[in-house]
Amino acid sequence: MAHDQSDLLQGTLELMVLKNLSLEPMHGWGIIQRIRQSSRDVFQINQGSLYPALQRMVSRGVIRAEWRVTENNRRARYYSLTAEGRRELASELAQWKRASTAVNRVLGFSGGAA
Amino acid sequence: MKPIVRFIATTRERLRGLLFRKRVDAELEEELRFHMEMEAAELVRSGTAPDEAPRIAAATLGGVERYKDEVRDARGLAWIPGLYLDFVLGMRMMRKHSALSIVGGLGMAVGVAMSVGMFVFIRANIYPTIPLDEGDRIVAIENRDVTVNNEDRRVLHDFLTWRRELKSVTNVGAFRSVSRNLAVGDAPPEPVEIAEMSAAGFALARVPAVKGRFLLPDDERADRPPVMVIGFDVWKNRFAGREDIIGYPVKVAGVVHSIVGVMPEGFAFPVTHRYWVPLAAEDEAVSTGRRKGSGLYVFGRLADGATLESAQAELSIIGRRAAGQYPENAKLEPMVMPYIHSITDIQGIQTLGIVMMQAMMTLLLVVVAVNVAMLVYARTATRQGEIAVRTALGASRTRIIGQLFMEALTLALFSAAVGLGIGYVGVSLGDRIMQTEMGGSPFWISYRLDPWIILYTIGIAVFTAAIVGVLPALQATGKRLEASLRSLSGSALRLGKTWTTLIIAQVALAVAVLPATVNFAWSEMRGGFTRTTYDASRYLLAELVIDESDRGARPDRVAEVIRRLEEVPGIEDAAYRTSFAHRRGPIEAEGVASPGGTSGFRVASKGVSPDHLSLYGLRLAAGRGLTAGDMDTASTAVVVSRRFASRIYGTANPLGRRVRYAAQPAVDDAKPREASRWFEIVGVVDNDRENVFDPELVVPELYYAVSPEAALRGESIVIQARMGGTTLASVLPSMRRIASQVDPTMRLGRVIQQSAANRQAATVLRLLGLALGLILLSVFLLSAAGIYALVSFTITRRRKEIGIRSALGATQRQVLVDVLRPVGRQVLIGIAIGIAGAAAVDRASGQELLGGRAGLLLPAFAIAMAIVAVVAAFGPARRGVRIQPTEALRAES
Repeated sequence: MAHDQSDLLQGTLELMVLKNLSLEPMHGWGIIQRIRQSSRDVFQINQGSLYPALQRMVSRGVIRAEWRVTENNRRARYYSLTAEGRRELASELAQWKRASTAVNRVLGFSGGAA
Repeated sequence: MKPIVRFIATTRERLRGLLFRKRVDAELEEELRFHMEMEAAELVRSGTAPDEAPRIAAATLGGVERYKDEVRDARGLAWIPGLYLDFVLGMRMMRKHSALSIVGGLGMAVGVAMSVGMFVFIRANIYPTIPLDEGDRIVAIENRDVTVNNEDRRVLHDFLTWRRELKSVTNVGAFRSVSRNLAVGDAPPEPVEIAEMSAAGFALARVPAVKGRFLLPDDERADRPPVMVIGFDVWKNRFAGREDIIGYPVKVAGVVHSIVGVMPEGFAFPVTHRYWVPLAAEDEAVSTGRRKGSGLYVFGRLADGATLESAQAELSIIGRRAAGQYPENAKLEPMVMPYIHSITDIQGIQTLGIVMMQAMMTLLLVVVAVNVAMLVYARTATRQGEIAVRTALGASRTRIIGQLFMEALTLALFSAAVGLGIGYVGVSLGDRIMQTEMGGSPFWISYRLDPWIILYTIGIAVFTAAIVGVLPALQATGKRLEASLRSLSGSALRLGKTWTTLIIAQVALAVAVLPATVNFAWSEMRGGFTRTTYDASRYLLAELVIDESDRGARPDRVAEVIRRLEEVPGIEDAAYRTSFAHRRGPIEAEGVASPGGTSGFRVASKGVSPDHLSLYGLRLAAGRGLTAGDMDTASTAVVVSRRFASRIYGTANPLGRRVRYAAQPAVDDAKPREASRWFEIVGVVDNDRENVFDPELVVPELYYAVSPEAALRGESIVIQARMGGTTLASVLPSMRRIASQVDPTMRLGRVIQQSAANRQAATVLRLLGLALGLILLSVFLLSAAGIYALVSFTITRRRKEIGIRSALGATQRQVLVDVLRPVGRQVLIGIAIGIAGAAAVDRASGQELLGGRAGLLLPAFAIAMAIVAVVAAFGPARRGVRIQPTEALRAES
């Protein structure tokens, strides 16, 4: 079942982008596809949300953008993590785990993510 | 995340978006195009028809422009296009309301000019930067006599001590500025300003010579041959840039000096100097006591790690030891200070005083800005509909205020640019006067446009725009805006009490202040209409300077110079007078009461040669003129001018009457003076000056005969000559040659045509007149503009009412009276308050403020302001009475 943008937990978009980019550099379309696949179609990120978010993250210095050629010989802008981005990812992940564990406990789930 | 890393990344992205906007937008378009193509390819893979896939992908993606705005928002640059649009709108408003733009803009430009001009002056003269290596560490040392709180420059003895002992100040040296005749080759000698300076001065400046060398410590020794260093422009202009300048001989006061070096262009340390010779050694006897020898300026550089405070502490210890050794001079205290403060003598100026000076100059700008704000507010009334619609579409109050601020800033920036130009013209004029009067500005003074001045000007423009734009905007976007939205008609703006009070205050201020301003300026300017009764262009004045040590020798030198001058073709006659007043002070006339509150009559006393009166063609009106016998110091004969006779004796015959210089009490550090002996008036001559506006301004004159040796008690005397059929430029070389031939130690100083001297004195008065004219024009223009705006606003607001009244039969006269009544009331109230205030202050000042002319000036300015109000109100009032009822009612429906 697909959820639209309004259902996305606040602040998680950037975390998900950081996580995906920690695996390999990607372009914007690739990030959307990866998140959709990883979430099994739960999160379908709207490009109207993604690109402003990517710009905010570039402005903050957690990711960088550079133009590369794809395997189909097309020019595309790839995003990759910076050192600051890796630090922020680690910090955000730790916070997420703490928060989600606490929520799960309140909701009666056993420890760890649902 | 480290804040600094984030700041750098954010700033980089913003700058990129700002400076390379087109490229950034193009990259975003390309990125989104790629996204769309990938989306289309995915649709094809999932079964969509290949020719349909791109259309569906595009529809899904939506408009690229929307993403551009959002990405721009994310970059933090969304406000920039808005800012640009506001600026363009501001330009359009300036063009549309050209009258307001011109009147308000000019007024603000004058205010900016005064504020920026003062800022430039303060930076250049009070807080300048010495353009030398470590210039901020160059200091001056002087002795201060604490009993009279004044410096004492006879510091030779202490200078030697400071140079020997000070650790916190290095390169300690000294200079004195002297004027000497310089003879180059066969050319006639000319007086030049020379710095007799220690070699340490060049070590301190750290500027190498472009040719040869600068002075060295060895050059100061008495047994060394005399040497001189010259400036670059002197080498180029006076010596034609000759290559063999090093070793070239010149004569300085008749003594041969060898040129050993040429300094670079622009070098003028210690002040404005282009010639340098070693500081002359003085007798050992002189240097064994304090307060002996001639005046010196002492300089040095703070040693590494030293501060002014630590240098002062060390100096004070040395000073206390000297006080112990020479108790008779114990009141001398050595002080160290920034170098420039000693030269310009500005120690006394406090920071608060400077801030006050700057604030006063900026106050005029504030007054002007408030006036312009009123005009803008009235104009805003016509834009209520626009503001209401923008608010309805989602513009916040901040955004609208921002827009109005930008419009005001556009006007303010233009005014600031004009004001900066005016300010610089004024400063340059002042600088040119200094160049002419004082032979140049000190080398550290620069009136170049630097970033600080531009920053200050922009700051002033923003400050002005805040007054002009934000204040009216706050009023216009307040609660009344809701009323405008509801009614969607006309203007809900009202000119509240604040604004009508401002109109009244503005009129009152103009009526109260302008008469006193005009009276003051006229008092100063009236003197500028004093003219000589002879043709001043035919006369020249030349200062003949004789060294102090030489004054007693050969008193016939002056007579010889005069005699030879009269033989020069083109010189008809010559005479001399003292350059300073031997005798000065108010005059007591025997049997005549002195003016109330004074010790005597204010007169100009002139010590002259006996033929001075005939030189200027001053006709004898009674008695006799001065003779050679009157030059005897025992003589009591004086000749007075007609003005003197009428001022003191009225119509009575002054011949045989006695006058003397009145006794003077001690003032500041001047000793008291007893009354002089009595002098007898032996003749009356015509006035040598006249003033068509006010004969009272012609100063009464008293002439006494003085011999050349008596005249030589001063440093110089003034040679006066009458030319016939020639020019100053033609006779000047002959004059210099004569002075030098009679005695090489004599030199001709400043030589000027009498008419040129009169013109220079009038320049300041002309500037004063110009400034007064600008102020008057600004005040009247702004008052007129304020009243114009007030009446326009009233007409606009009451358009419907006027239309209805006209439809009901009201005559044009009735409508006019009704519209103008409130305006007239405010103007009359303002005039009444202004007159009452000015009269009260004038009475309190004993009628000094208005010079006893209150009965003339106050009604005149009241009438002038009333005329300005009528003229200003005429245009909009005429528009009002021509409103057709049908148009007014149709427009409102």
